[in-house]
Amino acid sequence: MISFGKLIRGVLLTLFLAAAIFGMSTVHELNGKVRSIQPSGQSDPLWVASQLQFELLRLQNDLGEFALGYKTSESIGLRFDIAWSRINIIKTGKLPRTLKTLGVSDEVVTNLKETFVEIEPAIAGLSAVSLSDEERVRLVENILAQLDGYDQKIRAFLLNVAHAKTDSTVEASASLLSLSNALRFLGVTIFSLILTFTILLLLDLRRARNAETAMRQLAKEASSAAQMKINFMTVVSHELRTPLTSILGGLSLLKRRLAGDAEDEMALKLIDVASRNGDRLLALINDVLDAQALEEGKVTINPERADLNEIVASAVESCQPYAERFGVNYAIDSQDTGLIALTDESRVVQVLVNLISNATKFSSAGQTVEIRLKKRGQKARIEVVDHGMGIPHEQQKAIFSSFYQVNPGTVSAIKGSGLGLNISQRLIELLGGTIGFHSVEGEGTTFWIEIDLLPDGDD
Amino acid sequence: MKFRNYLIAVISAFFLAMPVSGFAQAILTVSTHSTSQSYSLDDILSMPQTTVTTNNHYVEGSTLFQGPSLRYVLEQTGIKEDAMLRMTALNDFSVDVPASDAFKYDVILAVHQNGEKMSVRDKGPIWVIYPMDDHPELSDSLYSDRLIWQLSSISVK
Repeated sequence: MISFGKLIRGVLLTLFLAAAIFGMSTVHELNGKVRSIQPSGQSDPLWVASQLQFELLRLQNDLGEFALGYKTSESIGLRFDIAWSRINIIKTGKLPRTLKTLGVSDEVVTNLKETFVEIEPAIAGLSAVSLSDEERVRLVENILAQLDGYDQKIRAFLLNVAHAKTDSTVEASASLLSLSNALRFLGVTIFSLILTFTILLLLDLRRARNAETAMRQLAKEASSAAQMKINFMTVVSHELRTPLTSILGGLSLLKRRLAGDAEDEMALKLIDVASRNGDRLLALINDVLDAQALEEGKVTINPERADLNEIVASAVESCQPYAERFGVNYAIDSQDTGLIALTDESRVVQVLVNLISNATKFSSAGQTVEIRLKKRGQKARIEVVDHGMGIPHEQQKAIFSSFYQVNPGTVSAIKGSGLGLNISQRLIELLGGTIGFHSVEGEGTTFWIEIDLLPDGDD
Repeated sequence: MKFRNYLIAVISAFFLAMPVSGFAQAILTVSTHSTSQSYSLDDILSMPQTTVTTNNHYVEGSTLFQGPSLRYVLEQTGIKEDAMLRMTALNDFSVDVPASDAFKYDVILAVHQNGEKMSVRDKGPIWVIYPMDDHPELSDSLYSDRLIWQLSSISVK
């Protein structure tokens, strides 16, 4: 389908180019034709020939009047010169070429010039002082006799020129007509080509729009899948939390009662397992509810002055049960005191607990998880360092997205909701801080958060 | 009777010889609505001369023309750029030419063609010449029609 469209486009383009070249050559030809039509006005052979006829008639007329004594010999001389100039005009410059193109013989003009040369002395003789009336009439009669017949011949010449001009005009108009037909054809061709192009373009546009809509639909579905998962879990969690709270409350009451009766250690252990798993379940449910609240923008934070050293200490304390369970040690490294920030203490603790418990889960027994607190300019940086398996490079990008879980492998017993890091990231962003990590596979991972400190002067 | 003939001959000889020997003959008249000025060939030759080398429909190839510029001649009579001129030839043929042509281009009243005076038979004594080779737009037939030969008078319409 695509190659077919390409073929059509190629053919259309070729046609377009051909039409353009044809159009240019036609216009060029038209230009030449129009230029060749130009001779007109004074350089029109018809006009020049008629002027010769006119001046010859005037000369003959004036000669007659001179014979009768009405005109002077000077005016005859002037008429003669003017008529001569008309002959010269036909014989020089562009006109001989034009006549040749028209295929008209100018033999009569050549003959007239010869006759003029012959009568020139007689014309000059008219100004002689001692002419009698009779001599004058006789001289004029001689001259007129020599000019006799030229009026007819020049009329014939004129007619020939007129016919030739008409023929060439007809020819020119015929060729112009054919050119104009070619132009019309060209116009129709170009119009239809443009029409076809436009249709193709519209089809393309439509196809692109459909593709875009489909893509958008896919993207929407993809993003709503995660949303639906959260929604579903929220509903389920709400329903689970109430009975779970009752179960956990019941278990703790039961444990307290059995604690006094040290005989049944087995029952105590079982209750411990049950309550530990119940706690985990509750944590999972809380995670899901937190994620939902963050998603809907329902989480509010209450910034207050807080000492970060206390926050770290409180978070580590909260995680102590974990440390005991996995046989991991915690080491707090804090050289700076008086790190005061305007932040929501409980949220920061929540994030740190998440990071520390993650680090604990991915550490082997006997290893140490380090929690470092230091000042960096106007910020405090808290790092949680473990020496566990690290995060594989190809998984690092996705680590903060919802429901993402790194397979803990050997410690598969401890699985979270996959929401912890996502929730931590959102909370830190809400608090105006940053969160990040670097990890080398096989050597361990460092997660860190940075929070703005209050300026020292505010103490 | 014989004496009478002799007398007539003497008188007519005097009148015939007059334009040649006595007063210089006027060959060009320039007139406005209020004034009129005539020029002999000598008058025209004593004006500042301009040369134009050009081709046109009536000559063979590039030709050297010389004569006063039309602009100069018009200025002598105070004719302004916006005037419309009627140029008339010896054979009473006339063409209307806008005076602006003379102010836009070096239009000359040629009296020499290739260094020689022009006879009436060769479109003389005055031929209006446009510098067509210097300005391609002048090769239009409109300007060809303004190349009046045997020019005898210029008048403001």
